[in-house]
Amino acid sequence: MSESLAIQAARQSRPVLAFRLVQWATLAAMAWKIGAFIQMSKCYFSTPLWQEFFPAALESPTLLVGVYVGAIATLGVAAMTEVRRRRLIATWCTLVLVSILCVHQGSYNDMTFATAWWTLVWSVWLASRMGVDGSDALMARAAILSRCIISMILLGGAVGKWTSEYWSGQVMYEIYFVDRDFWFFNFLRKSLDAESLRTAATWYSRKVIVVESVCGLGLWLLPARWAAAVAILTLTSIAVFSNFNLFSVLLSLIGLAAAGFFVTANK
Amino acid sequence: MDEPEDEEQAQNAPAPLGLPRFDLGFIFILLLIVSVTGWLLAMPFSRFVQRTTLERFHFQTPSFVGWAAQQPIPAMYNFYNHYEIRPSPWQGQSSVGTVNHFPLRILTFGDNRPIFLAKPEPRILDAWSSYRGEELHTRWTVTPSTEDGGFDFVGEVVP
Repeated sequence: MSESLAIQAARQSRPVLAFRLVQWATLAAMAWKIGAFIQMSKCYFSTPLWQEFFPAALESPTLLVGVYVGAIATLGVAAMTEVRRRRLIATWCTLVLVSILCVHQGSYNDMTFATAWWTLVWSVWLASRMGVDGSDALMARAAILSRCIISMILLGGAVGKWTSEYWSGQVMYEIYFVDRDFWFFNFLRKSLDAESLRTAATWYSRKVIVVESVCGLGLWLLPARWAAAVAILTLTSIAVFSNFNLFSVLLSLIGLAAAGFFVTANK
Repeated sequence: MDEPEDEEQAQNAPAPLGLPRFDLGFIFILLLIVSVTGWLLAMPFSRFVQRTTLERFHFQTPSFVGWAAQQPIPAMYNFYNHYEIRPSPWQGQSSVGTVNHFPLRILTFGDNRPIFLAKPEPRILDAWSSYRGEELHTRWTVTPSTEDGGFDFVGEVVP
C-alpha cells in the first residue's frame, strides 16, 4: 500500500472510530447507575404509581427494564459491528428505546436519557452518512454538530439558573451543602463554619452559572479541537465537584465532545 | 445483503474534491438545535415559555404528546423546586426538601416510594416550582389503589 493510500485509509476510518467512541461512552453513561437502576426498578414493581397523565404502558416497570436493557444491548451492537446497515439499524433502535426512557414515568426526569438522546440523534446522522461523504468533510460537520449540541445542553442548564435563588446560592445550598454525602461538600462542611459554608454555596452556585453560561453561549464558536478539550474539561469538572452520579448524564456528552479530536488538524 | 466496512468504503468513495453531498439530516439537526436554543434564550423574557416549562415540570401540559415533545429540551438543575409530603388527614410529621428539577420525581423516580409510601395510607404531596417571579404550586393526593398494592397519584393546580 502506498503512503498516500495508507493516509487515505486512516482518514476513512476516522468517522468509524469517532462513532464507536461515542457509542461506548453512551453505553458507559447508561450503565453508570445500573445498581441504582436495579434498586429503583424493584421499588416500581413493589409500589406502582398510577397517573392519568401517562399512557399505562409508560408506567409499566416491565417496559422500563426491557427498554433499558435493550438500549444497552443495541448500543453494544452499534459499537462493535463492522457492518454498515447493522450499525445504522442498531443506532436507530437505540434512539427509539432512549426516546421511550425520556417519557416513561420512572425515568423521564433523569437527564441521563436526555443527553443520551441528543448523542444518539448525532449517532444516527453519522451512521447514515458514513460511506456517503468524504471522511474529512464528514468529521468536520460531525464536530460542528457535536459542539452545537453540547453548547445547547449547557445553555439549558444555565438559563434555568438565571434566577435570584440560584445567584444567591440558596438552591445549591439546600441541594448540596446542607447534607449531601460527597467528598467536596463533606470537606467544606468540615473546614468551614456555618456562615462561611453559606457564602461558599453562593460562590459555588455563581461559578456554575458562569461556566454553563459562557460554555453554552460560546463553545460552539471554538475550533473543533479546542471545543473538544474545553467541553471535556468542563463536563468532567461538573461531575467531580458535584456528584459522581452525574457521570451518567455527562459521559455520553464527553464522548460526543471527543469527536472533535477526530477532525483533521487544518479544519 | 450485509456490506463489510472495507467493501462499503470501496463502493462509496468520497465526493469529488471532498465536498459534502447534500445532507438533509445535518440541516435538520442544526435547525432542531437552533429551535431549542431559541426557546431557551426566550425563557427569561417570555411568560409563555416560563409557564409552559413550569407546567411541564408538574405534568400540567394539556396533552401528553405536548409534554413528551418538550423532553429533549435540556432542563438540568432548572428552577427552584421544592416539595412537602405529609399524611392525610394530618397525623404526623411532614417531609420537606429541595430537588434539582421536576419536583414530582420525589415519588415518581428512584427508591423513595417505600420510604414515603411504606403503609397503605393516603398522603398529600405539595410541589412548588418558581422561575423569575412565575410560580406553579400543585397538590397531589396519593391514595392506595384497591387492586394491586400501588397508589393512585392525582394532582391539581393550587391557585
